[in-house]
Amino acid sequence: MASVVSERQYELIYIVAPVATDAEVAALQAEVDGHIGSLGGTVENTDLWGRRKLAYQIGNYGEGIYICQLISGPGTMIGEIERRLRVRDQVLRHLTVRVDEDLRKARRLKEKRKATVDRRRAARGLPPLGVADAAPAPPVETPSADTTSPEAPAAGAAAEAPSADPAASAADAAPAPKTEATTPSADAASTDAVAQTTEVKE
Amino acid sequence: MRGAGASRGKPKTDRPKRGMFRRKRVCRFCVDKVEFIDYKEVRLLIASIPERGKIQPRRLSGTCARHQRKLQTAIKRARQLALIPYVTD
Repeated sequence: MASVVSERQYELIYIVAPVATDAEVAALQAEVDGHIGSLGGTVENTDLWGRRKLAYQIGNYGEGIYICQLISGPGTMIGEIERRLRVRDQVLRHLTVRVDEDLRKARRLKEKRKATVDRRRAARGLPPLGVADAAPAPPVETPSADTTSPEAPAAGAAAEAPSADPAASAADAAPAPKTEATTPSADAASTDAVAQTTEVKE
Repeated sequence: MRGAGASRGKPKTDRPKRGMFRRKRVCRFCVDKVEFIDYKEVRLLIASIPERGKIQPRRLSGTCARHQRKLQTAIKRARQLALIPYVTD
């Protein structure tokens, strides 16, 4: 979808005079849709805002009927649509804005920001923000995913290691007096133990 | 370290020479992490046009240059569509 260069996304808003009936508005909308279709574009979304008070008077009208459409198609389509809207007396105002670039930019910034957050969280040994958000993150940002996975087991091992150490030290501490106690009576199974005990005794 | 040096050295430029203490200005769009200022969000834009209807300068609002540019575009588009006024009497 993004690879197609000629396909652009636009937002088209036009204000229809409040004297127009619902049927007239619908007819006009159908006409505009027809123009878009015939010029190689598609209407992705239509949002009828309805009657709305204007911030200032346009002609003799204090309110207008707003129609907002999300359309996609080639750039050559826009000039023709605007020309036709300008001809219509019913249309008080219209505005066409290209949105795909801005939306893409905003999305990219958002992803970048999320990647930074994840990287910093990974550095602190925290899981990525939000379990539901974790699914789209790995394909976008593999290095952070790689860093998180080795660190998590490492942290786990580090957590386990201290718990294992006291047990080991306790085990070491416990046999040590035993050997000392047993060696004098059992006459030294190992020479080292004997040496130790003798040193202790001395 | 740098702050300590500044307190001893030159007078602080952040504050006016006399009068009130001015709070450090922060771009509200940066705080909210707004990437895209939509001209259709009238409630957002109306906050940046004080009673006269003029665009509030960034020297007063504290908006960063990047967001002020986007805000300016959005306000101008909204004005064209009569969503917000050009001037208020």
